Amino acid sequence: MLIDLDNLADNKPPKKYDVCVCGTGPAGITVARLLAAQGKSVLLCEGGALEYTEESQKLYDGKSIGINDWDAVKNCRLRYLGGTSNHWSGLCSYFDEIDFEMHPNGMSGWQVQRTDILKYFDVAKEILDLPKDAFHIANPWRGYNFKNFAHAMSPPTRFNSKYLEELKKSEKIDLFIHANLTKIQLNPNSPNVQYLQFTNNKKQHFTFSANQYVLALGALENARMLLANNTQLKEGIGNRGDMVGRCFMEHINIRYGRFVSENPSYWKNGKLHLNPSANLIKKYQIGNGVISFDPEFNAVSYGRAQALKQAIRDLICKSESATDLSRKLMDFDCPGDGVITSLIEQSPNLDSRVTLSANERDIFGIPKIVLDWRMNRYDERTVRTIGIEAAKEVAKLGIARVKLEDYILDSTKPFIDIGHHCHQMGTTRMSHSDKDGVVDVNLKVHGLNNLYIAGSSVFPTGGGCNPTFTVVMLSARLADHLASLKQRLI
Amino acid sequence: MVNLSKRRFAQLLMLQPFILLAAKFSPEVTNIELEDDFILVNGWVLLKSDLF
Repeated sequence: MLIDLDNLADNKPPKKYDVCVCGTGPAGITVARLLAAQGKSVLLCEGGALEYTEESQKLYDGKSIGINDWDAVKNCRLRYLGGTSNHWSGLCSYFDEIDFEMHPNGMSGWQVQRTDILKYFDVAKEILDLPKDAFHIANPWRGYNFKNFAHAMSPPTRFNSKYLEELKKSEKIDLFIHANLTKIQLNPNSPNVQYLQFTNNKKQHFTFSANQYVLALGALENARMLLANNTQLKEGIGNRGDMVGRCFMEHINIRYGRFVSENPSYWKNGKLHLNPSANLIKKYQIGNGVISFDPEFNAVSYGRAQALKQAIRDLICKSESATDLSRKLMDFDCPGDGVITSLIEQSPNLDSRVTLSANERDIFGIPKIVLDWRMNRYDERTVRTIGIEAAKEVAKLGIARVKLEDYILDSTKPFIDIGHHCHQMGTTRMSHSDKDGVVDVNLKVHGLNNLYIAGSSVFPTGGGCNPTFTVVMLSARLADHLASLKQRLI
Repeated sequence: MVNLSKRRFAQLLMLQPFILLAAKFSPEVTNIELEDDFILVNGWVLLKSDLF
């Protein structure tokens, strides 16, 4: 059933639910659907509408004091039904075995076994519309220090258009839109959430209760809501160990340089993506990542002066010095050039974090986010080692020769144009205790009996892979866990 | 891409004598050390066998 909270007449929720899920991205919708399939009644709340609106998106306003500007952060997220799946590229991959080991900087790793997550591999494939032969590697890499990046492409699945009708028709799920989460009320006598307060666009408040609660609002908003609810616990909810908002991670997108190839057969299917091997990661004590060799297509000139333009380009490209000069003046690629890009894992870093603004609030009175995204020396070592070792590997195999950027070769030079992939992770990380994280192995907030977190904010490390496939697998696992719990009176 | 790639690659290797001279008299200013099989020339990570 679909209900618009803006049109709800009074504060009388129709019933008490088994589970209340906040957020309708891939994590929230997956948890809700799979719980409903097991007979559980679910309240599914979306703060935005069915489609994009500026008013809703504006509630994501905040400030960045770290590497990236806030617009880049804000534009990574979409505040309406389906969440970030509405602009997802569709690239699916999953964590390596080595990603589950403790990080070399001493921060704890995953509490759950990789095999426990991969039990939901086929479920996630179906949810994300992947083909049966997804992740199949046709030509295994024959190198030494790298391996193929196992990945597959979803169409991509838009959780808005794919699941809206199912949610509307569901007898088990009540989907509320314009339901802005504004308060998490704890029971004063027991470590439980008592109810959630939602506020509609008319500033009317509604309270809803359930046996279990799931926050699936994204890595920034999950941390924001836990920190902002600080009237009963001054440090916020689940923040006894001062870990909420910490260890914010992205995948670093940095340009490594260019390459020339003697052997274009390696690029006949497009980009060549490689992960470092476990041996390389251990040898240099670095993080994981993906380095991508992307062949440029032949530049084509258009217009009346087409022939002249093409001749000038060819002339410039024949001369190394003229090409270098042109590249200094503009983004100038020669036919046959290849560029090297990346998706590099960040180490969990306590100083890379989300906090709340001291003086800026949104229209519902919730403090705005301040994001301090940082890199550290582990990350720099990971970036440089992967680039240099990959350049050596492709040379050794006779596949290509690589010209690395100065800042890759010289560790005294700062990186230029550090980019990201809109993979926001790690602000409510999974851990053994509240000393180094926020949720336990079952994604339950430490110290509370009935509050859970879904999404990439629970990742203790980011791995060398795109996060959505793992988010869906973890969400399916969470749904199974919640469905297995006996109902508890609160 | 095939032919032009080869041409660019050939261009690089045709510079061989100049690269070697440059490498001898003006060594790379980086703090990266490559293994014996490799040589770093003007940012290019090359095999020594590319040049000798």
